[in-house]
Amino acid sequence: MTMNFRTIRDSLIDLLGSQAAGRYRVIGYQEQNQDASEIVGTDRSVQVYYSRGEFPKSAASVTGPYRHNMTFRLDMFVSAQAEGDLSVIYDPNASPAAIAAALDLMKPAAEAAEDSFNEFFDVLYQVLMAADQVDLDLTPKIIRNRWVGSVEKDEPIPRGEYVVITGATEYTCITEEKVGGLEGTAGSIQDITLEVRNLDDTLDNDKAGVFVDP
Amino acid sequence: MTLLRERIEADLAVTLEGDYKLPVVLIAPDGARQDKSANDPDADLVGQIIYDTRVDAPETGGDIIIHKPVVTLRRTSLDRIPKSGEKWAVEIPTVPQYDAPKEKFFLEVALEDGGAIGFIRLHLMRVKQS
Repeated sequence: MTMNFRTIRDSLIDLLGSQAAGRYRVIGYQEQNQDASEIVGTDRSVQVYYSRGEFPKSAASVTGPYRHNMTFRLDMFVSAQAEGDLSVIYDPNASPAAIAAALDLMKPAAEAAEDSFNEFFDVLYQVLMAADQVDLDLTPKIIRNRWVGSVEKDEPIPRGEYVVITGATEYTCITEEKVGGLEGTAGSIQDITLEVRNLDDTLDNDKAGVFVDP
Repeated sequence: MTLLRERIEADLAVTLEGDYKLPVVLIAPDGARQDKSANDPDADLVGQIIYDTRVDAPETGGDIIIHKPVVTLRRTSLDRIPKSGEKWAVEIPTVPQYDAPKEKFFLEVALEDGGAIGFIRLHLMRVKQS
């Protein structure tokens, strides 16, 4: 029996992947160090993983279901290169004034990365908090009270011609977990006999019912 | 008798603009283009170009070779001295060969430290089409 948090994680990754539309790349696990070559051609990526969970004790703690407050961490990774209107700068017929204007509008890599990160979080937030995605396409009520609770952005890191900005946002939600027991463990078997009696004895009708004979 | 600093500067005609020179074209923030030396209007603006830079990778502790050129130019050959923060375009050969086709890079940092007598180093970066 799969716990709900694993199903929810898969649904979260499916949702982000289906809504990416080429705007970012989704990685469904906590990746090791990324190499500079991975930055090339991959402007934005998000890693989704189950970060932590809490199981508050309650009156249902003995038999369940068990409340599971879970947090998924979405690590965002953005890289950007300086941008400019090269068509003007490379144009041999461009006037000095036009070239000067194009140079002036050139955007440094750090600024491009900042803009890219902000746009990335904008997209992720809209996807995660969309009203029609409350259930993450799961059976309604499996996931409850979903919330994007925080976002943080780290310092820009220069990597060659690229500037990298990392950050993270947290997606929290609640589910109810059930315990299905250990696989392969036989439960105890009760050999019982059920006998339904309807005694046709008007004087002794209170004896009618189900008798269990263990 | 020339001063030592003057002698060092004069030597740049050999060390920077000598046998291993490569042509450089500077495009200033105002769009002005310089492809001839300010010292000799008949000669190309030339300098030394290092095409790769080696940096430490903090994650692995190893080295990374980055294709970011560094151009070293003689100050007196320049019409205008680039400064960090200004937006300059710089054309250099795609490979270390005098007649090779040129590629445009852009100024990231212009360095003149205490050990730089008469020359300036331009650290360049690529720019993608916006």
